[in-house]
Amino acid sequence: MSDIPTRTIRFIASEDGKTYYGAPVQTGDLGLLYHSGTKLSARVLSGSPLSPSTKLTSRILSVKKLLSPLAPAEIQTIRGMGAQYAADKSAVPKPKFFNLFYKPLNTIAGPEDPIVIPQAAVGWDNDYEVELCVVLGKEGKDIPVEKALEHVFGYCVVNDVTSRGLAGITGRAIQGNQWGQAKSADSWCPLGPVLVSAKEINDPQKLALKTTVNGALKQSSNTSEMLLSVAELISMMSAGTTLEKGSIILTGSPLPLKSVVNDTNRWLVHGDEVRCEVEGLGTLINKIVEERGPRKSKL
Amino acid sequence: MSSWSRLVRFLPADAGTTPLIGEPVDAALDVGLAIYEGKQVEVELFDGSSVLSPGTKTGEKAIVGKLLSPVSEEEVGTIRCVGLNYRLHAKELNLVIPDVPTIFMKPAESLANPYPDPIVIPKFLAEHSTTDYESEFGIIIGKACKNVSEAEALDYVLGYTACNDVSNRKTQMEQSQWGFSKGFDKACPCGPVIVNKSQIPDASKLFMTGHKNGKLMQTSQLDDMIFTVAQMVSFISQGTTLKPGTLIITGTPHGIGHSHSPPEYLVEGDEYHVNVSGGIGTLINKTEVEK
Repeated sequence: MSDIPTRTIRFIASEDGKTYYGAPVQTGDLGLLYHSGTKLSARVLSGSPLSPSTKLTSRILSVKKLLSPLAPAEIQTIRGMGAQYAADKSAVPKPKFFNLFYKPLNTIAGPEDPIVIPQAAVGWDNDYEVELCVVLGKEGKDIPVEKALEHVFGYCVVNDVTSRGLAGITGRAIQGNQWGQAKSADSWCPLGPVLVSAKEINDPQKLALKTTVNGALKQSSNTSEMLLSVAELISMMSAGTTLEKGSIILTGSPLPLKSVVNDTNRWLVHGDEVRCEVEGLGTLINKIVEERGPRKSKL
Repeated sequence: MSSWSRLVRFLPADAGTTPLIGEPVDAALDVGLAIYEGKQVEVELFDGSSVLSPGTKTGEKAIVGKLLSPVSEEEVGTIRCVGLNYRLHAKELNLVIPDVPTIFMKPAESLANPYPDPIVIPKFLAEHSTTDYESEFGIIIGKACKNVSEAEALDYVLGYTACNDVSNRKTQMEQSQWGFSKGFDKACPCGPVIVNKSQIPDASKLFMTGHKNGKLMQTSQLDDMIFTVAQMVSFISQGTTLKPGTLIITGTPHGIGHSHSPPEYLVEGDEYHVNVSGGIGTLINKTEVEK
């Protein structure tokens, strides 16, 4: 596995329309390059970067479409974290408990894929959430904190798209307040543009992250502001629970800027372009599409 | 494709390691109870490897060695769960009847098999065991569905089963989302069979009970459910593709261990039996503290 480059992508090749894993030839922010129409190419990997038997081949193919860096079937489970960034870490005690939720696999999308707001969520305060996404390369359970990072394969950018209204956070109060319908729509977990191996990321707690919508800054922070570190999250989530290889963890999103919190027009609407960026991992760009048509459920 | 009324996924008694699909020869047999009692369960073999595509009867019979959950961990994806969904349960907890279903999830890794596989109390919770049972009626989706109306929702259902939404109450109270406290390994036993939806045109007519070590703890007709099968499938599918194999567990009636005074939590050795009528039978698991 030592010859697998530290940056990998998953893509549909122009040459034959098939899906491949590959190591991008171009350097720099692949999300921005792809967005601007730059022709990307990659050296094909014989399989998933997570597999120890995968080899780097000499074949180079052109990227027709960039996909999420891992296939949904390989991921199986997406674990997410509730709010756990603080504006002033020193003022907040380290939490002993944390809010764990899941996003089902139908949510996975790639760079430039539309984020589709279903009819059921239109007008329900839909929001972006830039997050550091951790990809596990080694299965584990009851993992001690000091061993946690050994289980990490790498990192990528994720946007944990959320309907604050359907989560019962704003607007309509929902009894039980479970976020199951608020984060699980198709396309509500864009991932990418690349998967970066942990070898390239010295310290996951030193990464700047930000979100812009139509060019305006909405979130801006650093993973140093996380109340629970990546290692602590892995350890806590693995209590009594097997975290499988390939599973991913969405590690929480920073608070929006104060100017955003006070903006009554802050929610995502049709046509908005969202850019989520994490230092060293590139920029994940997606556009919002609101679904039209009559609602099919009477509830 | 052969038609079927009930299917089991199982490992054969001749110690094969490939899961097989079969239909119990005795249509009236409570398969889960029979296995628990050490009785022989004979099935007619199908040539498929999944209840989603069981294929054709081979003409051969097999003996069940070990019962497995009707869908596999690889097929089930993230399990969808409906919170408060029984009127009497709302009453015992002093909660108002919700007008929309509360939806949360359990990870695929929580899926567990019927007896002899156990309910597992995680090591780190062994001293505080507040592990609790929740008898639940399960829906298995057979056809990919999204944005389905209530009128067409049942078209997408494959069949029904029994589940136990094993929950840890201490950790459940420590955070607002239930994902952790209900998501431990093996916290979703499921089975013993899948009954074809054609056998159960109206799930509200079914009865469900839960027994702890032989003592009746939960009992309800499913007409006490606040939301119907069609309403739940329709609602959950709005904006979200439910793939075939998706398991929806539909809430628990009154009588959870937590609501008793003193609480009736599960400890090492406790057995919980979830029985659902209509041919589903009894899902049995014995509690074990993880070593």
